[in-house]
Order: sequence, then structure tokens, then C-alpha cells
Amino acid sequence: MTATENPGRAALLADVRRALGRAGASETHHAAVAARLETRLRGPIPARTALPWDGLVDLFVTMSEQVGVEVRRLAKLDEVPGVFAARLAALEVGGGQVMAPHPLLRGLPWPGNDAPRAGPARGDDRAALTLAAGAVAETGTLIFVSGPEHPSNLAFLPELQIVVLRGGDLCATYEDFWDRRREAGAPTPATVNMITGASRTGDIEQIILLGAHGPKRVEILLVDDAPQAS
Amino acid sequence: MSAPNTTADFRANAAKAVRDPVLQKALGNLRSGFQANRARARAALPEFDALRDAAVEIKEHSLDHLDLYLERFEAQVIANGGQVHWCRDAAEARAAVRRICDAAGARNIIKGKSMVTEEIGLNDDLAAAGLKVLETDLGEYIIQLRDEMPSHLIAPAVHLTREQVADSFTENHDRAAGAPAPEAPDDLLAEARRVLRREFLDADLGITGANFLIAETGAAVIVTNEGNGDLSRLLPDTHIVVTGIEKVVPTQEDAATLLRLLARSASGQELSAYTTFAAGPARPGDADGPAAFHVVLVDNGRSRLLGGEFRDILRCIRCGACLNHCPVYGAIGGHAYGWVYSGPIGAVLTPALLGLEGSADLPAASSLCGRCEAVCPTRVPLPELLRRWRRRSFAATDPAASDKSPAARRAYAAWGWLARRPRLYGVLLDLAARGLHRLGGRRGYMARLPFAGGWTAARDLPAPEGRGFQALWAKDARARTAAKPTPAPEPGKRP
Repeated sequence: MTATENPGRAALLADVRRALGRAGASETHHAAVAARLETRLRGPIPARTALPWDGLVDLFVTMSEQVGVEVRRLAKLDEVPGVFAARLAALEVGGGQVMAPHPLLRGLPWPGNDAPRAGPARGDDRAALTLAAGAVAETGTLIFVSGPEHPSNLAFLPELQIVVLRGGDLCATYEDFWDRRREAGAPTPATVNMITGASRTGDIEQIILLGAHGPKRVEILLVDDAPQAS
Repeated sequence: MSAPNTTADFRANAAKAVRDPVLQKALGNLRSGFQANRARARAALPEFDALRDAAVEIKEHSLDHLDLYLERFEAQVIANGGQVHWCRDAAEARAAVRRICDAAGARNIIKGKSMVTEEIGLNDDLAAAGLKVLETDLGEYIIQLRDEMPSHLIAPAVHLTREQVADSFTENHDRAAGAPAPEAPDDLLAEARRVLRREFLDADLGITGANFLIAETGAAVIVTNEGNGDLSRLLPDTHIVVTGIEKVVPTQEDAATLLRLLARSASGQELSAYTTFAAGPARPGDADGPAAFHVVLVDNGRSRLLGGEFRDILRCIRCGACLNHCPVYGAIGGHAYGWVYSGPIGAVLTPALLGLEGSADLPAASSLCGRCEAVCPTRVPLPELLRRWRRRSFAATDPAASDKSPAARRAYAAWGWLARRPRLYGVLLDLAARGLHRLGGRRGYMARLPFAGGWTAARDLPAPEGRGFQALWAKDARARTAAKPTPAPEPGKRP
């Protein structure tokens, strides 16, 4: 970035420093910032998340249902294609289907090689099958991470989103999810989406309506035996 | 050019608002909606007040080191492949956005909800340059069709009824010949979704605001319930985030603490439907996402606030709880305030951003009841900040040019004379309390008062309990002396 493109930078920072009553930042200031970024202190963590594994799953299911999201528990990943088809039929959702181009979903036993198209969603797709990168029991929140194998727009264009969540990817809190990413040495992705319920609006007389722009319905297939994300 | 303002007409605006039956009907939903939902969410989280304390610490620490965190944020954005544009005022911010649009060759722009872009008057500027700009938050879309300002931080069309929305859609949407006009809210939404979906797919540039900026990762946090912010980011080739410099926090952990407060305080949700961490453009090989990513950092008066007696206002996370709980906002709605920000936060911010001249009536329009501070997730002392504006306004007023009528000045003088005679004052007050109590009758309030018809036209006056405070205090003190051997405090003496 050249100075001509950013004529305001030095002046703006000078205004901020003047307001803070200092010409520059002292060693102490730099040290305080470095320590803060290094220690990444957690704030108060809701005690309701201090649970053993089974309890976290129950909490996740409860919180998901509170925002209108159904959770189905599957014993094996291989059950996903059958349940996906059954849910589309039960909800009478026809038309375009799309799924994340992830090896885990591509490798499922799709009958007659009849898998949904793999890739980003198009404007007229009706249903998406996605793979959560994580989930947070505290609020029933699903987490998606952008990448070659997971287009972000799958969670926003189709009216129905069916999410595969591997049991091992469930975290107690948002902070636990970030720690797992850091421990795995994962670089900062372009987009992380935390999703809690279907798309909604209250902009007409404060009446809550689903499907404002994104999905009208979100369902979760919680697979108990799946391995953790690498 | 900034967003147009009518703050100087506040008194007339407010008087019109309380007499507007359609607006009053729309405002009636506030109590049952936002207030009750926040109370429920708060009750369900025992850590709520501890989180508020932590939020104050996070914002204060971030403001104390604002220069360093902004530099760190910029470095991370650049490392992620994006660019940061530093803008001292509204004009610089508009120019920065225009430059990006020109360089990208953008024609069709879609927007997620952003108060800062309202503040800097961005839409009119882009439209004047021949660009098509479309708001996609349903509430913002509705008010854009009606050429209105948002009347609420998080519910911009809260002042409208479904009939008004239906009329605006009928005026603006192409429908098949003979197709019925939608009336029910879900039919109205279905039509808006269809119209906006086409616009999303055609757009070549998306603009959103940010709820927080994270210095650690260079991410802009975008919170919505509709998902429109995400479509604005993901579908076009270019994503611009326009936001205030005070939004930066150190880490993802700090953002998590603030996120636990934001939705609960705003709408009573545990978390909004969509919380997005937008960190740069799509990486090589990514399946989707924008090719270019820009952050336009806007000062526009914020650094001035940082060094002065209104610094606490920079802790605001724009949840709207102070609006939802304000009796004045509840009576007049957002538009009466005359500019972008309304309610208690607007009454403090507007004089700071536009100048006190013309906006002095805003901080005056408060009973200082304190509910705004009581519900504020970052404990901004709004009543005290309003008082500071009043002091400044009073100090700047020439007594000879006072707008008080001669009758009002005589009344103040009479009260002043009486207030210097405590015994007489107490006797008269006790008499008045008894009299008003009788007037209030069994209902306990008065719908009409002699000489104060204007005041009671839009509200009732609760009747006194029957005795003055000093009389009750004295009676209570006598009872305590009789009950206990220890001496009670003397009547009229305060600690």
C-alpha cells in the first residue's frame, strides 16, 4: 500500500495518539499489547458448558432445538446418503442438490453413483449437504471453514441445509474451537461462519420469519463414530 | 455531504411522532418483543454481569492501545491478502469506497446493514456517481424503497406496519399481470427474497459493516440474522468492509466475550443466526469467496471522542438495548431524533458527530431514568454523558436569549423562593401530595391536569401516595425511635 493510496493513515494514527496523550507508544504499551495477543486470556466461560462428553452432546441438541434445528444421531457416516434422500423426500424438496466437494462426502456410498453435484451452490439450488468443521454446544452453533473442499455459500443459498457433524468435532465453547484450530497449526481461513439456526428476520412488525435470504430449514446429522478432522 | 439531518427540528418531530397513530402502533411492539426477550436471555445466563465487566475491560484496554491494535489489524489484513484504507472523515471514507468501486469497474453494489455507511452518507454518494446501490437487510431494503433513515440500530424499519411495507413493495416490485399483492408478512418476505436473490446474483461488489475487528487475525466480524451480510461478502468479486476505528479488539477470545453479550442484549437470542469472521479475500484454490477484500477504517470524530469527556461512548457495541428500554424512544421512535443514531446512544453520539448546535434538544429529551445504563452490555454511563451535554449546552446559552417564556421564568423564580424556605416547602408539598392523591382516585394516576394539558395529552401522571417524602421520613423516624433505643437520624438530615 503506497502513501498516495492512504493519505489519511499517518494523520489518523497521529490523531489517535494525540487523543491518548502520547506522541508514540512506549515499551510498556507495546509489551501490554504483545502479552494480550500472546496469552489470549479467556473471559467468563458459562458454567453450563462444564460437562463430560455425553452432557455436551445433550446440551448441543437442546440448544439446537431451541433455535428450531433438528438433530439426528447416526451411528455411521455411511448412513448419510440414505438419510439425506429420506429427508428431501419427507420435506418434499425437489430441484437442484449440491454438496461440499469434500472427500468425506464424495466417498460416501451414494446409490448408483447418484451423489449431489459437488461444488459451490448456484442461485437456484434447493438443498445443500455440508460438512461442519466444528460445533459449539454452548449455543447449538455450527461452524464452517472456507477452503477448496468447502464453499461457504452452501450455507446461504439453498433453502434446505443438511449438515454432517462428526461427534469428535463438537466443542464446549467458541474458545475451545479456536484453540483446536491453533493447535492444529491451521492458517487463518478467508471465511469462518458460525451458524445458529436458520436464516431469519424480524423486520416486519417484529414477527420472526424464517428463510430471509438463506435456508428456511437447517438439520443436523450427528455422526457418532466419525474420526476427528485432521 | 453527510447523511441529511433534521435534529434541529427535534421538538416538532417529537410532537408529531406522539400524535402519529400508525407509528404508535408499531412502537407498541417494543415492550413485548425486545424487552421481554432480553430479560429472558439474561436470566438464562448467570455469567451475564461478569461478562459485562469483562467487556468493559476489553474495550477500555483496546481504546488505551487503539493505535497499536489498528496497526496490528492492518498488518494481518495485508498478510491475509486484503487492503486497509484509513479515513479521517466522511468525505475521505466516501472517496476511498469510490476509488475501490472504480478500480473494480463495479456497477451493481449490494450492501449488508451498516450504520457507519449511513453516518457517512455513502449510498447517495455512490448513486450520484451513477452506481446502483441496493440494501439487502430486509429492514434497510424497506426504508431504502421509502427513502427513509433507519429508525433503530438493529431494526431499521421497526416504525412501519405490514400495510406500509406492502404498499412500498407494490410501488416498487414488478409483478405478473393479475398477480395478487401480498399482505401477510411471510408473503411479503417471500417476494422480497425473490427480488433480492436476483440482485445478489447480479452484483459485482458487496459492502458490509463490521461488529468487531480482530487484531490477532485481521478478521472483520459480521453479525446478522438474515445471512444477507454473508451473501454480500461471498457472491460478488469484491468485498468492502466499512467500519469505525473503535471496533477493534485484540483476540478471538475477546470477540467471544463480546459476542456472548451482543445478541442477548439486542434481540434476546443466545447468538445471532450468522456470526462471520471475514479475514481477507478467498485463498488460492478456495471453492468460493471474494477475489478482493478491503477494509475502510473511519474515524469521523471518534479520535476526538477518545481524548475527551465522552470517551465512554466508544465502548458502545450498537446492540440497541438502550433504545429498546428508553421511555422517550418508546414514545417517539427513532426518526424524531433527526439523524442516523437515535435513542440514548443517538442523543450522546449525534452532538458529538454533528456538533451541539442544532442538536442540543436531543440530550435534553431524557428523564434520566437510567434504564439505558442499566441494560447497556458495556456499561456506558449514558445518563451522565447526557448530563455533560446539557451542562455544555447550558454554558453555551446566553441567558438573555433563553427560550423560556416569561411565565416559565416567573414559575422558576417562585420555586426558587419557596425552595429556600424548607419548612413552608415541606408543608406545601405535603398538601399538594394529599390533594393530588385525592385527584388520582382509585386508579392512582391522572389522565388530565389543570394547566398541563400538553403534558398529559400523551401520557398519564402517576398520583402521589398521599404524603410528602419529608412527612413520611419524619413519621418513619418517630416509629423507629419508639421501637429502638438507638437514636434515629434527624428528619431532613442526609448523610
